[in-house]
Amino acid sequence: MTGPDSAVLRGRMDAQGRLVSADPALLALQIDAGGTAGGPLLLPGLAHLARVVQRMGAAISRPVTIGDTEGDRTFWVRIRPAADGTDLTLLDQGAAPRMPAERSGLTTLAVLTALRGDGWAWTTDAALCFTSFSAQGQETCHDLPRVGEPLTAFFRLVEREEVEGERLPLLAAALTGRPFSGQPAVARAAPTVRYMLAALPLRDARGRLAGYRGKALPAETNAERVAAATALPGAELADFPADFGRRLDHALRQPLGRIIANANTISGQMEGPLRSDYAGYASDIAVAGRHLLALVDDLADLQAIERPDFTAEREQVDLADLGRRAAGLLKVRASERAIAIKTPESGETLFAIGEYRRVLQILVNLIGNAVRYSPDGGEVWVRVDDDPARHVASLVVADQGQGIDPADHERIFARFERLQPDDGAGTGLGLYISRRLARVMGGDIMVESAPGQGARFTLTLPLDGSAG
Amino acid sequence: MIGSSESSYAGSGNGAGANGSLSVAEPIMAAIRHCSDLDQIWQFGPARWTDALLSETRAHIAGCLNTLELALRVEAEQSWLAVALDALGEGACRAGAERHPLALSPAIIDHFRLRAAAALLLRQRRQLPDESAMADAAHVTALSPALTMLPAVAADALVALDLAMDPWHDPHPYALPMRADLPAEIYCELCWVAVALLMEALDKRLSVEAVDCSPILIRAGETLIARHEEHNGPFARAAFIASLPDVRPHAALLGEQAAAGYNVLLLAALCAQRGGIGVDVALAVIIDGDEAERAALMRLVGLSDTGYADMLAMLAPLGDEFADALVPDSMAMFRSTDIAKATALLARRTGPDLLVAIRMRIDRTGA
Repeated sequence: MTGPDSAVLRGRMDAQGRLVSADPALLALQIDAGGTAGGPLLLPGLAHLARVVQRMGAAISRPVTIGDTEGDRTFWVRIRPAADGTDLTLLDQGAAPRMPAERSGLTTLAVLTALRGDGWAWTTDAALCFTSFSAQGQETCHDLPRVGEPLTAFFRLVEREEVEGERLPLLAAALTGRPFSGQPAVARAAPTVRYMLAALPLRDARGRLAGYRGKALPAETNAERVAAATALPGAELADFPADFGRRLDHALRQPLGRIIANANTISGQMEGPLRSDYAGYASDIAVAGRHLLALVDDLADLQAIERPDFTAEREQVDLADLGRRAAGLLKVRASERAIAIKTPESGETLFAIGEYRRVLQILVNLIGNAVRYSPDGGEVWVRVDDDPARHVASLVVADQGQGIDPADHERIFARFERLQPDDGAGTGLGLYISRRLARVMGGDIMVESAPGQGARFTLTLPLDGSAG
Repeated sequence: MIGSSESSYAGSGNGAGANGSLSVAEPIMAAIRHCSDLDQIWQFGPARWTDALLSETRAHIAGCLNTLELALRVEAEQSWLAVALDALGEGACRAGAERHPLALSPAIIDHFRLRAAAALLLRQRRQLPDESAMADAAHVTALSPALTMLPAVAADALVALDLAMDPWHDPHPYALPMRADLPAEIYCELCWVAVALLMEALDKRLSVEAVDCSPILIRAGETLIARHEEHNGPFARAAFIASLPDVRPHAALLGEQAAAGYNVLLLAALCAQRGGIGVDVALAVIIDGDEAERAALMRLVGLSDTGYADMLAMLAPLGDEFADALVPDSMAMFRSTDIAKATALLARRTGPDLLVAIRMRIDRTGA
């Protein structure tokens, strides 16, 4: 049976559901579906409708999507009961529009593929702390993680080229409990060893995220080597997405500002009298808010200075003047504890090469630390000196605090490190940021100290030889 | 609660079975009625049925039953049963449905509810002041892609849909026949409902036993079913329009016009085609679905904010949840729904009817 219009397909099924007659186009669809001429109709949607018609004895007119070798096609189908079966008439409506595939489905497929690769397997809890791991016969040149160790403490995540808006797929997935794959990482204990991480979420009986089950795949294959190679150069130094600082600024600074302002209003009882303990609580809130704001500032700075292309301006700066200015900014805080800050004499100058605001930032940090760790009633000295033979200008900040054990002299310049673990003052980033800034400007920060002997922090910068 | 129901409904029926065993059916039914009463009395959420929708649904069911009854009588005219059927008088099926509401399955009620809702919404067209109606008509004419861009097949199909829905513009008298242009499954089931009600009426009122009348009525029913063409019905016509390849590129514009023209059935068909779901499923989502799914459907079909607002205004007669005060929240929901989110939201509604029904049951039992 052939119709004059190639867009109209006709056929007939017998009472046993066999396609006993069909146009060539309909027969081609039947064969693509794995059927034969005269065999049972194997086009799923069509066969179902035909059975419905046979059961009901009523004609049906419906849209049906049928897949062929080239994709899906939509047909308007009319099926009518006949004496010895059913008559089929299909009007070809063209290719069926494909809805966008759900991303998570594709991601899951990619993860499942990755998990079949060679690597060492791990599981974490919902906080991304390792709960188990298995080398599965894989040799590693570094120790495997400890149970309970955070995944991000063992691995340093590496930004990759942006894919669907994500540079760090692990972080993006962990926020929403989705699977992830293709996350470049290096083991902190062996930074030359590159991995590609992939994992599926684990869920408890209530469907809540309970952790991840994944694999660390050595970046050995070409694909992984390319993916690792396309990770942004220098990005291994960065633990944050490129626009992290901007996002953080936007998300936190304004709310924190409001919290601090309102807390200050309450603690100052500016709107009326208040019970003293409530005023005290408000004061605590303001202090905590300022601490958080300082952390926001530091994190924003951190993100900025850790960019591979971060540079500082090269301009003439007067270290003595900057020392006086920084001390002035901290004078109120110092005077609250009767700490005197001795600065270079007015009129004293020492010219160096650096960026004005960055040098000021360093000095505020160094002098602020000195004030913080000085005893009440103590003194902080700020002195400048130069070494023309070495073309170095230096500024020294000395305090009378408890001093720093030589074993900790380098540790204090690491990120988020504090002398005392329970030291809530500061963010743990100040010295790290200050030293990095100093080095970008061609200088450095060194410390001389011993327990019980206070501390001397020395900022050095290139001397400006052109100055008189 | 069961105890109080028993005391309230103690006289409502005999709780003992034929063999003297205790029947639990009566107290269970009483408890269900009591819960339904409580829900009606203390209802704070949107009502599933407005008075207008109830009335319209009754009219459509009654009208279609009247038609089927007439057709069955015609088929039985040449038999001895014709005399008995004449003696029953008109409206036997309608009256039987009122006496035996359980004869109507949930599938029948659900479909007629959607059909009645579509009719009720369409009727708003005729309720506009004349000037507005004329302005709207002129506006629609000026923009109608059917008249300016679509080929004849699509334009004819749109006209055919308008013709099929034309009777819905006016309230239907309860006692008169209504064209039973129903989807095949609903038509089949309603036909057998009519046959069953006729058999019941013949038995109860004229003592004509089923064994005598059933062969004639069954043959009549089979004849009606075999002759039924669902593609003449408005649901099928709307689905056909949406399936046309020449219509797909204009789905958004047609959808906007459908919303502005109170044609929820055409809008549902366009949504169904885009979402890969049935027309009745899409219509149920629009009328009964939650806000997120409704927004998802409209996003898939490509409605603008104006079109979405028109759709909400169109749905106003169906309940308080479409009240003006709630429109801003609905618009915000629509604006926050993108294509990917819409596809994901509607994923559970795609697939064979049985699969969708099972997934809906699983969803209802909770995580």
